[in-house]
Amino acid sequence: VGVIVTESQVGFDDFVAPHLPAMWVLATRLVGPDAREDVVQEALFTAWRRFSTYDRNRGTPRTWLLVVVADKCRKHWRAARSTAQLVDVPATATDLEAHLDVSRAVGRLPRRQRLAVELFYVLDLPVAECALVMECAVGTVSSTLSDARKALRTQLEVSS
Amino acid sequence: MNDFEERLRIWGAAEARAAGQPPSLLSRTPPRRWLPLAAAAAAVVLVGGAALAVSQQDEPARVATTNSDVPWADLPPGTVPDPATSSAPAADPSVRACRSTDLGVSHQGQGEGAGGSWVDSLTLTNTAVTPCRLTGRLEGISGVNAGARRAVTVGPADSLDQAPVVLKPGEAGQLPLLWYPRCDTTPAVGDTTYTHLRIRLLGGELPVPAPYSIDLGCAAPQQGMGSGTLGLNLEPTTIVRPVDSLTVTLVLPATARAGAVLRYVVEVHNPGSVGVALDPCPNFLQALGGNLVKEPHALNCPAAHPVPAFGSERFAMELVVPASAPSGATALSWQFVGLGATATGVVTVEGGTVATATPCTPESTQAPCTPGMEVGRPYPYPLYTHCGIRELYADGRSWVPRPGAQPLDDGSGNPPAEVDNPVDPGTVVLLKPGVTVEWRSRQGVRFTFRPRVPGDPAVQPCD
Repeated sequence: VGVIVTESQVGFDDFVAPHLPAMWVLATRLVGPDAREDVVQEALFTAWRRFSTYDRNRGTPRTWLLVVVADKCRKHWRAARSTAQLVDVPATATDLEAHLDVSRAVGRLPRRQRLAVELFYVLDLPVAECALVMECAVGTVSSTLSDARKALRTQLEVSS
Repeated sequence: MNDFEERLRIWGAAEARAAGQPPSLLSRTPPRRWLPLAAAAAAVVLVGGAALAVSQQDEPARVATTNSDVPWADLPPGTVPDPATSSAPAADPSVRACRSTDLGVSHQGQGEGAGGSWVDSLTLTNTAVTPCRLTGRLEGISGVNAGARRAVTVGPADSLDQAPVVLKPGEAGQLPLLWYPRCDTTPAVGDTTYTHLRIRLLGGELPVPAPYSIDLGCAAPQQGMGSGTLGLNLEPTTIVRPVDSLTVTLVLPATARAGAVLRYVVEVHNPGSVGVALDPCPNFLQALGGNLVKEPHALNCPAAHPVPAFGSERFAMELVVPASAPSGATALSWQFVGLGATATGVVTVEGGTVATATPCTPESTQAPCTPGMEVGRPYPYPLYTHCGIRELYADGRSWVPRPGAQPLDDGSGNPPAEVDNPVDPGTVVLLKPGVTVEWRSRQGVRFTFRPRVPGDPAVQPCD
């Protein structure tokens, strides 16, 4: 059986390559180092299949690819319901205690708040792009981030 | 930005770096586990009107357009900006400022400059996934002076803010530094030694890993001065692009045919953590047998993909082996022009000219090889000249160039002018038995030889 490549799928590698690091970081943060490669592989495959449907008027390539990664992460969580909690990425030995405190606090955030924090602070996305990835309004992202900051501040004050 | 917000931003940048870089998921040979996915997809992939069918061997469809070498294209070399001399462009102020957690830092090491100064080169690499603007200031060397910390004196013009540059992911800014002592007449409180350098950026300090040891010497009696501080001149930042770190290897066939096209492959490797786009397109030089063939070309960038992080891109190459190429092992070299990456290999040329040192040997049984050449008679005598003219055998003995047996060449190990390469079908003439023979090239250039004597240099092999 021959596999068919449509003309519109030509150039997929060039389309993806600049954004692969961001996809990798998001997957690492959301599902951890053990599952990130699977998630990114699945996201790449899905993106390749849907490549012809990409509409640049609805978002940048990075946004579109991160939406696919975030979706794959959600599916990963659902598939592993017994370990549905978001994972903590191990910190390096040189991290300061304060850094560890933030990591722990972020790990305890509700899932949507954590996703907003990861997109905004780790991936450094603007709020508008966070909204596209989270598939919600810009105002919702702002309020989610605000709630996350409040929760983090409370946790960090308690722990210090 | 309040402290808490800044703390979260610093934490986020550090976590992004800690996540590391992806493996080459877009490489030419993806993991085998793609295969079930690709096979399953075969039934659902849309077939376009102008669809391109490819056979499903052991590669999924997504690599169908990239699973072969970038084809050869005979492109003339183009104009490529020299990265070593091009200054960094002005920074776009809308790009976010680099944070200390965005940057990897290394430095060449302190060296002595003119007039009691010290020189160094600092390299700041953007390890983040987005571009950032290099701004901030080289705030200080921590000087140890009776336990005190001393700040370095940096003029307003030497702040990074005066000429900020934007670093794309993987790019590095190279900052040439010139440190100099600023001794003054304040009361001496002992000598000052500066031991560490720190850079103040948005989001915190960036320590330079290796220690300094700069002793001002201002408190020395012969200076007639007291203590001092360390001054800094900061030269313009130069951008070092990821393309500068590319390396190359050759994949050569064992043999090549004289007069035929030699096809081989150059693998361009990217040791860095971000993909490298070949823009501007680099030129390369391929050379066979030293100067036998030397061709500059532009790389076939229009047909290439960015070289993936920790991955490679393969380029098909072609080179016409001259029919006059000598048979045997021949060096082939390939290098990027202006980028430093270079590789060499060896192919065995078949069907070329027979590379013998002389057409005559002591075992030869005919004139002019055997004793008894007629004086003044020209004998046909093809001479191997590829590495210069170094010796010939005639009239039953070895002869070397007059007067000092030094090779006759163009100064670079090639034949002299108006002598064919690698073999010239000239003639040999005995001028005076046991004293002088003359060899004349096809174009009539004459060289005289004397008998080889003990102590003359041995003839080195020519390759």
